[in-house]
Amino acid sequence: MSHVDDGTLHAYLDGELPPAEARGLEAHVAECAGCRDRLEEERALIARADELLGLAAPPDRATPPFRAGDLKPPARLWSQVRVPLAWAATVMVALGVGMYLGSGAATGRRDEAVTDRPADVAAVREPPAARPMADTAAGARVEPRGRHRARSTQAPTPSGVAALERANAARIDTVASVGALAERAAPAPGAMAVSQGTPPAAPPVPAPATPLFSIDSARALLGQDPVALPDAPIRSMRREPAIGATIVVLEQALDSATVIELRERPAAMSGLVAGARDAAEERGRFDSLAPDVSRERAAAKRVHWLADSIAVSPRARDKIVRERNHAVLRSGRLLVEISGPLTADSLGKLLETVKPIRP
Amino acid sequence: MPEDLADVYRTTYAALVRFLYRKVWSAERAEDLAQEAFARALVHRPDNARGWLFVVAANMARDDARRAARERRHLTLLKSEPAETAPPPDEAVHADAERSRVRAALEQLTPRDREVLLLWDSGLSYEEIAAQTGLARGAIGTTLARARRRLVEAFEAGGKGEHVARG
Repeated sequence: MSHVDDGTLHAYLDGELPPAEARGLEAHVAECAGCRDRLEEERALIARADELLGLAAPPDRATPPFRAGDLKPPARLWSQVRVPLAWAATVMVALGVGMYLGSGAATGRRDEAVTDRPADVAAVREPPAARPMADTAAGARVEPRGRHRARSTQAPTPSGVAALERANAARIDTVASVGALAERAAPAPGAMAVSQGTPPAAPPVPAPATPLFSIDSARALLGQDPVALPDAPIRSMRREPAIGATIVVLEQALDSATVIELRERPAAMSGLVAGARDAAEERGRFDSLAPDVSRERAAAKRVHWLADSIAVSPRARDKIVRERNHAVLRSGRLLVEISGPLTADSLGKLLETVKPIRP
Repeated sequence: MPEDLADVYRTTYAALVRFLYRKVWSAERAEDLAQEAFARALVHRPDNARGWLFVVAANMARDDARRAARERRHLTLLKSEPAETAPPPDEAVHADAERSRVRAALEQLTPRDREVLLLWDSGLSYEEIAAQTGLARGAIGTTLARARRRLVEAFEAGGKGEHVARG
């Protein structure tokens, strides 16, 4: 072997010479004193160079945790906002469903809707799930399809309870699946009507979604100044859609615990009504908007007559007080119904004190 | 950070800082650039992350040096280390002077020799250096031998005479 060049010596000393070449080099160095000296020279040179480079080394610091925030890769922006967006959308959907159910359904029916919900959702989801099963398993094809058909023919049956359930389910499904709503609404138009707008079955529960509005708007709706109890602060004023008219609803606080509600509508809309008897009928008309509570109100009305005509025991009176009573008065061209946790005669007396709200 | 890149970070970060420091001569700047190189690696997901990081770091250091050169045009090489806020102790002054001499010596190498030497000192193998610089693997030993010799010679010469930067 010829003498070794510097590059090979450095590669050898760096441990980067392939094993075969390294063995050859070692054999040569063992015989060649000159190359042996040069090997030691280069070894010293490398040591010296490493020493110098060590002088110009950065301060020895621990590796810091990776600061990933230093550079936001733009390509990953979507993946970063996707999950928060999904959460935001979920919250909005939940709010939407809550407001929709809250605005429409009676408490009892709302519970019903909730309890019906899992079953209904399952019913909607099952057909697509059954389909691939039927397609993959040829032998089992007939049975699931048959079951599916039986379900779909059963679905449009316009039985009252089923229709109501469907209506409730359809309300939920408006958010979950528009397709499901159409599918369900088509065979049951009645159910559709129930699910849209304020359901006729709903009592005049104050709707959180109903926008509050101004006295001017109330004036425009009623055709005159709305009336209110003087000296009682108006807590809120809203309107409530009703068949053929809009009712203006005022809430007034008599004291911290007692809130009465004034429901006003133009009397002209209800035809010729006069006196308490007609007013009672009119109340029935109000109530017709809410058949669910009409029985309750009828009961209250009976107690009301009882309380007016007979001296009732204090206990009975307590009972009256606990229930919400009603009184109806025709004030000018307005038909005003008052309701609140007071005795009916108190409400009646209060009702007589109403005055138009002047601008 | 994916597991593999996290491993590379653990094993390569210090070496990358060391490599960058000999180019920008500021520990903070070197660390910033190293972090940025890893952040870019997160985006690009290179196959050979280690080698890729050194290429990117070298490019970043070059850009950084150009920018710095524009900013400080009349700076002597020997005084270019940023002044400390407090007067440094004697050992620190001595270490600074040594570092400046090494730096000056490194500046006298050809860019290629310097690059090979710094890559080797940062822990890259001949194979990796060859891939990095485009040199043949067999030429790395020769290049390193020349670079080391020139570095030591330039350093010894710098100790005798006074070295003032051009410009």
